[in-house]
Amino acid sequence: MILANGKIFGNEKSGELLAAIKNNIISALNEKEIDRTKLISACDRLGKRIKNGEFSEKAAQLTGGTVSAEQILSAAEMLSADSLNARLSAELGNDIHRARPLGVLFHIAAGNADGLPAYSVVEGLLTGNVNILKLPQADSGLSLSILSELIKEEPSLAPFVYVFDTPSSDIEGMKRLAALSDGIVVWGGDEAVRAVRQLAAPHQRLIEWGHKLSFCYISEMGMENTAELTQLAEHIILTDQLLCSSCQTIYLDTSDISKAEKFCEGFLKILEAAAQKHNHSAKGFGAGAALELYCERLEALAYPENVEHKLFCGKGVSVTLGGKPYPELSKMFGNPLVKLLPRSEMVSHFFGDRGHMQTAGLICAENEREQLSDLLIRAGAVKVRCPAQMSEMHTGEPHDGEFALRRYVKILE
Amino acid sequence: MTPRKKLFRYKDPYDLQGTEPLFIEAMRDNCIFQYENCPEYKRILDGCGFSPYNIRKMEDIQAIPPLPTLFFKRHRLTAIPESRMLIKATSSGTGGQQSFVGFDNGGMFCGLDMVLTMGRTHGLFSKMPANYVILGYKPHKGNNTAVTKTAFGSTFFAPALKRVYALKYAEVGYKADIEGVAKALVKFEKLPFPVRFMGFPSYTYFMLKLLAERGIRLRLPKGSRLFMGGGWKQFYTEAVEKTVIYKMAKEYLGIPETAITEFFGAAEHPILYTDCDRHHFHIPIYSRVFIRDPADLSVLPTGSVGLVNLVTPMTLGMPLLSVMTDDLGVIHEADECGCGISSPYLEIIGRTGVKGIKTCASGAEDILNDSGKR
Repeated sequence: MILANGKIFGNEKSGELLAAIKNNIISALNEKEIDRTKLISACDRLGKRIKNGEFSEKAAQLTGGTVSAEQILSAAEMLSADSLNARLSAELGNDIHRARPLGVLFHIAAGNADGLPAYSVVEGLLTGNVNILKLPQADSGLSLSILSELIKEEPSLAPFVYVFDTPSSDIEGMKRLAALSDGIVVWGGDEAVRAVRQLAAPHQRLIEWGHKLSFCYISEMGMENTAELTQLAEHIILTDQLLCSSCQTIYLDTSDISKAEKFCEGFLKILEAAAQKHNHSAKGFGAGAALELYCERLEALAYPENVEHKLFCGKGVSVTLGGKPYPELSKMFGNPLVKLLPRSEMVSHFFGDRGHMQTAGLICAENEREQLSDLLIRAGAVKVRCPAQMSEMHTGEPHDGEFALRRYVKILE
Repeated sequence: MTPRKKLFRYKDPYDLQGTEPLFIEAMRDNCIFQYENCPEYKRILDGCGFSPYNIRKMEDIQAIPPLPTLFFKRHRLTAIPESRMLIKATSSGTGGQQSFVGFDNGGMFCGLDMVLTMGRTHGLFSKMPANYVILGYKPHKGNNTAVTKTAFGSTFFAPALKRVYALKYAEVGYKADIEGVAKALVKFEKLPFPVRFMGFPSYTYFMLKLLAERGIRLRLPKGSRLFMGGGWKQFYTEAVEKTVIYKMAKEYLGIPETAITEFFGAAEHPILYTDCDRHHFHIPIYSRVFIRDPADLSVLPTGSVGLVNLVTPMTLGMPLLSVMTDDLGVIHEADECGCGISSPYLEIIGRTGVKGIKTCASGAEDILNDSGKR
């Protein structure tokens, strides 16, 4: 599906619309400017409609039920006038009157958070840009639906929003879209960012929201904190470890392997309980992770001399103790890694990967919190949270350590 | 005669009940052979607390630890020296890794018996010479894939006059020549001999699409057949419903749906599943299929979706007796089909794994994959 000039078209119109898009954009840049007050008020109205449950059924239908009521409320909150105004003032501050749009933003979105591609466009609109959005392959249709409703709320936004879901294999089409833009906003891993860098011309600004890894650090005192360990387990289950802010590895502030084994046994039970509570299923992609773990279990039996880690298997979840001496992605879907990392070795462990680190969950005693938070930030984390809030988004907070809106504008001299 | 030989020589290929004792006995023999001749397999069974000497009933067969296809992609397991393996092959390596498989002499003859029985049952053979169009790889010394060997083998179902291939070996690997296939077809249409197609559904579809784009509507000679197997591989995003192919085959080749047959199998599980008139893969006597819960690998009841575990005593060369694929599937009771075959049938629902997965790295990353830069 394609959204252009406020109307939805089938993909068969792709060629025709691509041919016309340049003139449409030139005309938008020539004649019109986004009225920010109208935009914010349209977002606010849409947010209220979302909050009132007007789209809940549709969201559930489009995403196959992966969007929770809390996520819908959080999305509604992010679109509220208060929230958008707070972002503008926090991110652009005193420069707000000197900030002008870059011009045209080409958003290449990732599909790990339903509706996030639409929010990326809202950020582009908030800074006055014309926005071209290339939907991810796994998109549910939710983003197109949100943007089309936003334009219905405020039809003057129509010339500023174009959405394509043409496959990425259409390299020529991608290049044509990229060539129209002043900035390319890419959400994805290192390989994606590298690919987009090849698409971009030297004068284009690249705004990269790359793949990040998050983790949880637990001190010896923290290992006894069942309440926070339960929150961590629920975070792991509820995010399926798919988000940049999802915990992949649990680091323990110890070098005592027997303590770590005891922790794994206990945490596996907590993780199983969380999986059961939230009806976590190992079907689909989770089945791939389960199969891989099963294969590793057999490999450990067949080739005991190669064993690098110890696997603690539960029903549909697992905990792997050990692994590589650097940050790595877990098998996801309820299968975290556990590694030994005494605090004295923290900075050196993350040293080569500082640019990839994002959220650090922290479970410790109150009197250790300040010192450990500081150490985690110095090691590379961009935020430190309690486990329940690892993936929560807060209005006005930077993303991956940077203010997004600032990168979508130029500041007049 | 060994139980394995008896099983593969059995006349009715869908009499699961009648062959159950034979199947269990052949599985027991095979499991003991692997245990005694493949040290890695022995360590796995010992580690899982499973003894092959205690296999007596179907529940014991379910308890044999299945080896994932992933395991064979990472490790080469053998129970006889490779020099004694008559046929060696590899999987297609869709995910970038290939499995090595090798067959013992006895296993190869079992395979031949199976092909003859299935061929007779499903009317695959003909004495009438035919022109073959292979919508797959032309055999080449560097290509050991099972799918290439199977496709070539199928050109003996009827005497071959000519073989035309869609994928030919060029200077830098295989190159698709759908254009060449289309040209050959125009010639074959004028000859008095039927045309037999064998190949991947993806290339079959691409060929039909090319004919449709060119507006070429062929009426191939009576007796022409279309065989497909091997899945969509890297073209999975372009996969279409089977009914689309049936419709197009009728329209652009003049081949009716009744003359279209699909096969299912895997390099690690070389059983020839042949679809029935209603295009379902009924389970033949040479194998059993268990659907397992990914959460704990327990066997799920009929009608549940889970990981597909394929079981056969066919080959002694390697421990391929119980293999866990990365397919998700479901078993249906025979009467849900109603074609008259008495055994249940397997439906593949999808694949596990991370293709199309919603992670931070998805989205833009596929540009790189698709542009072939990685």
